[in-house]
Amino acid sequence: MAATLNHILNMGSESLHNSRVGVDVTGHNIANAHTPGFSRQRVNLEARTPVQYGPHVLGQGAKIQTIERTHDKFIEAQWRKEMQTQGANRGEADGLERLESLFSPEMTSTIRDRLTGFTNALREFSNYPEESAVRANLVESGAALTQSINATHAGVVEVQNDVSSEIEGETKIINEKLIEIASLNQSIKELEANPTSRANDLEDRRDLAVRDLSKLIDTQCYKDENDQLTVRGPGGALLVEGTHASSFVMEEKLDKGLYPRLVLRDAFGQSTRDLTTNVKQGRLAGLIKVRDGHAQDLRDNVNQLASWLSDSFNSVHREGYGSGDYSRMKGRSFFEGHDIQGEPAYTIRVSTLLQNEPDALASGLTPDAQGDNVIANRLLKVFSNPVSGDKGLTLAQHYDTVVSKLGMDTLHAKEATKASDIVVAQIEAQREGVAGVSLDEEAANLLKYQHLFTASSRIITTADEMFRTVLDLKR
Amino acid sequence: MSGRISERMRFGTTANRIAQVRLTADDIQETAISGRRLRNLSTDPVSAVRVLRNRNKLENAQQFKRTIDYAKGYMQKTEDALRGIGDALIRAKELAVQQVNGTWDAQTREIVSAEVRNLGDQVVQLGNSTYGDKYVFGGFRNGTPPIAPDGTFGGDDGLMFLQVDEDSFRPVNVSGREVFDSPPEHEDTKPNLVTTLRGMYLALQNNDVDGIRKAMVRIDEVTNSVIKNTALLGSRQLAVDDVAFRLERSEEMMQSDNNKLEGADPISSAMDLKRAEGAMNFTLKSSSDILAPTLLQFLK
Repeated sequence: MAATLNHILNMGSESLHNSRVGVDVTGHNIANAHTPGFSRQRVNLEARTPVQYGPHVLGQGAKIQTIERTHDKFIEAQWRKEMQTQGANRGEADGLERLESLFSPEMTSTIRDRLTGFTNALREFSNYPEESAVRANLVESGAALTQSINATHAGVVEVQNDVSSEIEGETKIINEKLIEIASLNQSIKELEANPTSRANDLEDRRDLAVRDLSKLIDTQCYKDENDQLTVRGPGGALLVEGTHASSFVMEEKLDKGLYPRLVLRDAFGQSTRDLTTNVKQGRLAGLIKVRDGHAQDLRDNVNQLASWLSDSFNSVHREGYGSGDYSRMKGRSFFEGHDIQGEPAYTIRVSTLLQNEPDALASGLTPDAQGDNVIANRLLKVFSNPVSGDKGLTLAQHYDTVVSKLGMDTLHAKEATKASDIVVAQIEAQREGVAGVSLDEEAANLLKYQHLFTASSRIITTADEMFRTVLDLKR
Repeated sequence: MSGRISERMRFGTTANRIAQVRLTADDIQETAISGRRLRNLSTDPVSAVRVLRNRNKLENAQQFKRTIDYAKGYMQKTEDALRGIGDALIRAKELAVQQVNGTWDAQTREIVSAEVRNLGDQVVQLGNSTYGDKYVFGGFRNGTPPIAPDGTFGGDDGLMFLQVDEDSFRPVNVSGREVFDSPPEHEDTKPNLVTTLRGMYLALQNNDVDGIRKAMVRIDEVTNSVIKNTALLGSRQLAVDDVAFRLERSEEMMQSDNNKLEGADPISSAMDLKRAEGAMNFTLKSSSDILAPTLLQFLK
């Protein structure tokens, strides 16, 4: 029924409808100009299929084909990938900064300072082995040294514990995101049952959830023909498939270290898999690297240091004679508590006997010789000689190596974080260039649709006038 | 559609820029206030460890200086005693040379013997010299007087080493046995210092010229031992002086090294502060100018 007045009226009314939808979508864009993850939407208009009218082909006006979000899936994939790297770097840097603060150059009670204090007390002891005040001072310095070792060990363990509970907290967020993605899959499936319907806002939300997930853990995603997103995680493990979401739990496993392991339980609760060592990306990877890598290494090194110190110091000290009641007795240890398996840095302390009776301190190689400082000098050499089992490093040099490695690691992690921040910011800018809302543009669109609306109303009023003219013919 | 600037970007970038400028300004301010460049290990790990090492070495240097002062005092006291003993022996030798001459009679020798007895007492006293509470000739057994009035040596052969530098232990005493007693290896030849003087005293008392002559030879032997040990002590003092000098130098170097590594240059800090202030003002001004206008304002 082309070219009838009714046809003109219909076309005008549809165009009026189109312009109204246009203003609607523009309004939606403006409202979401600052919504994170929102992609601007646009109305795709399409000319209706024309019809044959006598010798002519007449147009049928315009209809709305789809309301589509502007989206670049390649940028999205790249963004996800870089966010995983950024998350890993940032997690590592955050943890390392906490460890670093235990060894800050501003501090004056580090193991190294106390080691220096102790050796100087020992030098004083070598000068005046007969002085009881000097003996008492050496015992006090020894206690200060063991306390600093205990405190450093405790500090590292505290960071490890904190990081471990942060990992646990992050897994809860991951689980929420996995459920969110699965339920968005469900809603999208329902809304997109009609092939021309696009669940734009839900897709934006799902993309945002996946990006949030990528900040935390390894992700690889792909969509099936029904627009359902499948997410795979560390080691290719299935995290979300359709409307099913797996979940992470922290499980203690005694044979695999002190801290709980990251275990994935499948959507049906039928199988579990330990993924702790498979996590390579995202904040969780950085945190796990700090907990099981950097902090554990540091802890091992402090333990090693305590064990070397007490072993080498004691073996010399046992050879020496003390003063007063102890001037004919030898075979006493200076440090104790180190022989307990595992954590000597936690247990090391100055022997109780020496704390109560500084005369038991060994200074000489010969009995009954108050001025004999041979053992005192040999004890001093414990600090300048290489410690056993190491690459020719003294205790202090070993400590320095550990500290400078920590400094280097922290520096590298911070630099890597800075670099990935820049990359992510660039990708975000690219993404915003495609999908972000520009108010200028939306203002222009508003004008465009307003003019369209005005013009469409003119079509209807014109058709109306034409109707009236036709009706007036009858009078 | 590249080149589009979205709202989120306009505001996000501006916020980032301002945050960045504030962060830099904060950092500069903290450096300027603390006057230190190395506030974290990761600012410069290599320098930080070097600073820590230097700081500890400086602390050690203070201890070494105290030890050196102590060693110097100990050796000075020993040197004074050895000089006193040397002088006493020279005087004894003079008297022996004089009295061995046949022109003197028993009465004169009796008078001279009194002086020799005094010299003997003096030597015992010098042999029991102390530094602090320690008998300098006692070896490791330095808590009790090493020389008995009859000249028996009660000390031991302990050589006291003190640490005067990172890698150097130096002896600070001489062997009392070598000076006063017959050391095991010289048992037959080298006589005891005190008994030599005692022998001379007795020879003088008894007007025994032959005894005086014998004593003269023995005095030469013990004098040699005193001179040898004085020289040895002198060389030990020189060595410690040398260490003290090197310590002083390395201390200065470590100080300046640390200042260079961890100190912030006040002039560049001031310039940085000025620059940060300018950057801050400019960023805030330009941000407010740029963010304000949008097309919407012109569509009325």
